[in-house]
Amino acid sequence: MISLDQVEKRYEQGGAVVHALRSTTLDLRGGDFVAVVGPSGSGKSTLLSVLGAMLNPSAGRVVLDGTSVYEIGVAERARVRNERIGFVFQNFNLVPWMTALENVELPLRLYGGSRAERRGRALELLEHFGLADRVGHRPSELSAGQQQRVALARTLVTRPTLVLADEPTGNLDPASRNLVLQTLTDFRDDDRAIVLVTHDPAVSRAADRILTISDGLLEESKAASEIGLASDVA
Amino acid sequence: MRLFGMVWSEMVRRPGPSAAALVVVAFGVAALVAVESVATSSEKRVAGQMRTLGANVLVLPAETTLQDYYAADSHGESLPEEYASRITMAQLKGVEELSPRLSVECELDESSVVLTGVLPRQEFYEQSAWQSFDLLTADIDSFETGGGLGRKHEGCCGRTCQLTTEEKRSLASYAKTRIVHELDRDSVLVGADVAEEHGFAGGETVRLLGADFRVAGVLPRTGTVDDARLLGHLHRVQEVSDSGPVVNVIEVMGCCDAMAADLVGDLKDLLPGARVVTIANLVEAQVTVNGLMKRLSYVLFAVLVVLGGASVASVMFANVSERRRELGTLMALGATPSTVGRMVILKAATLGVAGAVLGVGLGAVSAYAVGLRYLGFTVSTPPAIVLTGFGTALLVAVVASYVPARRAARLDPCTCLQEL
Ligand SMILES: Nc1ncnc2c1ncn2[C@@H]1O[C@H](COP(=O)(O)OP(=O)(O)OP(=O)(O)O)[C@@H](O)[C@H]1O
Ligand SMILES: [Mg+2]
Repeated sequence: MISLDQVEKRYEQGGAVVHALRSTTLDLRGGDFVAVVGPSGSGKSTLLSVLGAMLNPSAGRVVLDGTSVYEIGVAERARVRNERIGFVFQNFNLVPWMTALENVELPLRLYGGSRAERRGRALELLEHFGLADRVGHRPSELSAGQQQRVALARTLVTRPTLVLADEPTGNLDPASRNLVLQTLTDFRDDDRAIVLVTHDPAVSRAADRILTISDGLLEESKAASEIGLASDVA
Repeated sequence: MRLFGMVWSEMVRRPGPSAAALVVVAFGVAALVAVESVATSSEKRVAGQMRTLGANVLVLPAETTLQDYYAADSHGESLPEEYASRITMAQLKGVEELSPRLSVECELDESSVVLTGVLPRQEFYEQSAWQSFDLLTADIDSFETGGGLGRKHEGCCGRTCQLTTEEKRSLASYAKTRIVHELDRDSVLVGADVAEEHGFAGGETVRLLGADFRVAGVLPRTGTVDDARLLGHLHRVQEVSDSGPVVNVIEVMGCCDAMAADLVGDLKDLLPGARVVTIANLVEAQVTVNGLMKRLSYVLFAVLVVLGGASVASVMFANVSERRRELGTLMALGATPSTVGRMVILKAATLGVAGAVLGVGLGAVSAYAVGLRYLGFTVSTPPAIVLTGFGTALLVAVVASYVPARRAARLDPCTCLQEL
């Protein structure tokens, strides 16, 4: 589904070189649910950006469903993001002046398509998340948990093959957090891989594979439970 | 359309940031439209006044003062008729028609009327042709078909040169041209008022200054002093009034109002003993005002471009930096950089057009109100000015948003992964 082949990302700042991502090779398949854990500044967001066709790596290749995403044009890459990749953000990033429904429709709207169909899909997802009575609300009129559910609906509306979530539960109370995790679990299927970045051991336990990253170096972790235990002990 | 829908709803739902730019653009366009409308309407009015008079340059005896330009030829002073031939032969640039006139008071049925002697156009050309080799070699028909009197006739936009020979011959065109094409020595043409008062219809005989004249026709109403006059053959009027070969005025129909200015200098050089006046002099005050208005409208145009452009640019810059996260998210969701850039330009263009709609409306209404209240004439806004307003506002908005749009297109979608 997606593979990183010796991917590196370096930032040069005032002569100093920051290795945000050191040579990384990674293979994800449909059905994978991977958590990435690591301290702040270790390169988690960088990894997600590279996976998400948003950040050109300094070296290496990223291949998504057979397409080398950084060897195609900007517009094609944008289209790949639109059709195959779904992002979930820590602070939701809903468009403030759009209603919940319009926010969910937005990715479909960017590339046309019939209005009736996108409306139908958006409503279906909002209903699934128990937001049927909130479709006309603006994000500012919704709770954090509701906003993240709207954002999840927006992520899933395009039926992406790769879902990338950066601290999706960071701003949520435990109940909302569990709902988000439940949703990610529910929506994983054989054609979809999920990558979840988190600080929270409880969250990483939802994944069935855990990668740790520190100082740009990505490593396969032991069992998920071990990480969880280690954190609980610490 | 898809993009425009998004741009439009963003503006409507979050009007605050755009309102300031909208107001600046609207006021700029309004001022431009108002001033241009007033200037154009007042210009048209001046042109209308000139048209009523028929001529745009008058050659008068040096002693005359110009009190009432409608009756500038009835003042008792005279100048040699030969001046008219001199003008013809000098071949001055821009002369379209000439009309030497001599007006004398006389009695008609115990009331006093003015008999004005004019030289029929036909005869005038023949005479000129005899006197000038230049004119003789030129095809006489070219005068007939629209060449006019002056041979250096480029850029002619006058009235008579656009008429066909048939039209020039017809009395009906007199109101337009003030030119009499044919008139024999024993005939008179009567003005509309005179005909009404004395019951002339043509064919009658009238006795004026001891001579009999046949009424050859009734002139169409012109709205000028001619309506209360009789027109006779210049040379016959000179005879019956014992005036000798003189006239009171030579009316010169210049090609264009623009040419009239040059023509005055040329005529002054040619006829040092005469006083040469343009109609523009007569309406000088108004023309000066028009000039000021034009200049003011250029200033306003510049202000619109600079202020409108600056305000659109600053609003769009602020908007782009304020919406960095939103636009970055759009990119993460699959919008291309060029789509995001186009959204910014489209928003600015919408601002420009909306500002122009408001501004044109406001400008046209206030110009109309000012005309009604202070100027005493109806000010209308021609479509060309509306177009100028729209075009300028749109162009300024689009140009001003170019740099903000580029900045938007270069936003890094990764910013939306960063925390607030
Ligand atoms: N645009 C950039 N320019 C320069 N350095 C950058 C840039 N983006 C990230 N970095 C650096 O790269 C390293 C990795 O950053 P990254 O955002 O991936 O960390 P992270 O693991 O997501 O941290 P956090 O948990 O705080 O979100 C950091 O040292 C950061 O300072
Ligand atoms: Mg991060």
